[in-house]
Amino acid sequence: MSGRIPVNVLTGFLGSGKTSLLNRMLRDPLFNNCAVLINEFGDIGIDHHLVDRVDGDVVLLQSGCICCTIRGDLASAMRDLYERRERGDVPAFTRLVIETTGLADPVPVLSTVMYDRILQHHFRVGNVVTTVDAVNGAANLGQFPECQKQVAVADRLVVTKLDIADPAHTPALWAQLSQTNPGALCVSLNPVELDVRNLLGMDVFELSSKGEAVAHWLQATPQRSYLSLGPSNARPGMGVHSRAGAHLDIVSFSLVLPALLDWTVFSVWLSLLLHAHGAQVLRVKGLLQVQGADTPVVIHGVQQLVHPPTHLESWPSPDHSSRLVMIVRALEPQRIQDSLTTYLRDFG
Amino acid sequence: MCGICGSLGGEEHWSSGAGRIRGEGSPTRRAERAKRIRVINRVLTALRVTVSDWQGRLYLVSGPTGKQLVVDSLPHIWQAAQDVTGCSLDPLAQHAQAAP
Repeated sequence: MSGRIPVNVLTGFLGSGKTSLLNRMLRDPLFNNCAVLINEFGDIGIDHHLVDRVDGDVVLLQSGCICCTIRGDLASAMRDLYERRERGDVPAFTRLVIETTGLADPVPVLSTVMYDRILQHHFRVGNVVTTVDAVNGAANLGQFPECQKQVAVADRLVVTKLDIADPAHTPALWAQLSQTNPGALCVSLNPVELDVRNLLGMDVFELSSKGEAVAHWLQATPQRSYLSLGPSNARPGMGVHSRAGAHLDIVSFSLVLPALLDWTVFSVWLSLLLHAHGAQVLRVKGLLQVQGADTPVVIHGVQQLVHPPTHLESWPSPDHSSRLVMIVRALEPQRIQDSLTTYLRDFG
Repeated sequence: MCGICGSLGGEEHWSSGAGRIRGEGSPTRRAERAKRIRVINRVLTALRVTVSDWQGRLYLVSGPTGKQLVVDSLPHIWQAAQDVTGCSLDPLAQHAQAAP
């Protein structure tokens, strides 16, 4: 994983404050070695940051950050930018931020980074940062599948426009976000509190922070708030806990798996589940105790895009049980649990 | 590409734990691949589809009518199983893996 350039995807619904966040980021010294792929220069008002225009599509900002527009398809823009970096036409950036349009599905962007024949050798997925505005966010979440998807696949949620929102309504929005995606780190776009390093870094592929990242999303789905789904034919020790967003058919839940998981059976099952229902499985994250492995194994994925398993050096908590956290749309957690139970019991 | 058999690349799908799942008891790539094929064949029994290894790189998917497809990864196996039988696969379907 090391050596490849991390890619952060900045997404959010129309008018949710992506540009404000990007402007805030561009002023931060941490962005000195970043490149940003945006849709239009005009949108972010970079003229006062501008140092040099490399050509029509690429400009260099005072901070050292490289800003590029996406003229054609994303893969071409990324390849072009990487070639410029290798030729020395632009500084050797160490992180790339891609800003999507307000109606974009972030998953194809992740797919490009992970599976493009050329790009996959030079870039890796960092995380997905989604902006949600405090004024219209709740309504957008209730109305627009694009907004729901952007929130569900996020690793970081940034709530914007808190200064003009009705304070009486904001606790409900925070709760709504927490229900839809309990594993995401949720922060407000407050210049004092916002820590860009935490926003863009701390993903599970950063050796220094992956234990911390896993511990966060495990803690973010506390057992006490789970809803028991009643008896099942699961083996003892395998339980399912879930909670549904009040506004959607999106459900987040956690499966506690038998100790010493059979990786082959588990990966065959997950692969088939994603083949059949990948569009409905918005997120999968797992901390697994796998047969034959010395240390805990982490998996995570977005729809059909699953990252190769990685190891943690040690368990992030005294609880060493395997856990699988999923965010699904229009699928019953109980059926998923029963299916996995059957596979582990009958096909191993 | 292998110069002898002409097959492309290695198995890079995320499900391949060999080399990634590290530990004293972790299987070799070949052993893991053999086990994966055994598990897949159990899953596909209801469809009368069989999967076998092809050159240690690819998979040969054979349907009940003798129709065969060569594929290179796990997701493609599921698609090929559907293509050779005309059935769709659903692990959430009760009592059977095939959903007509």
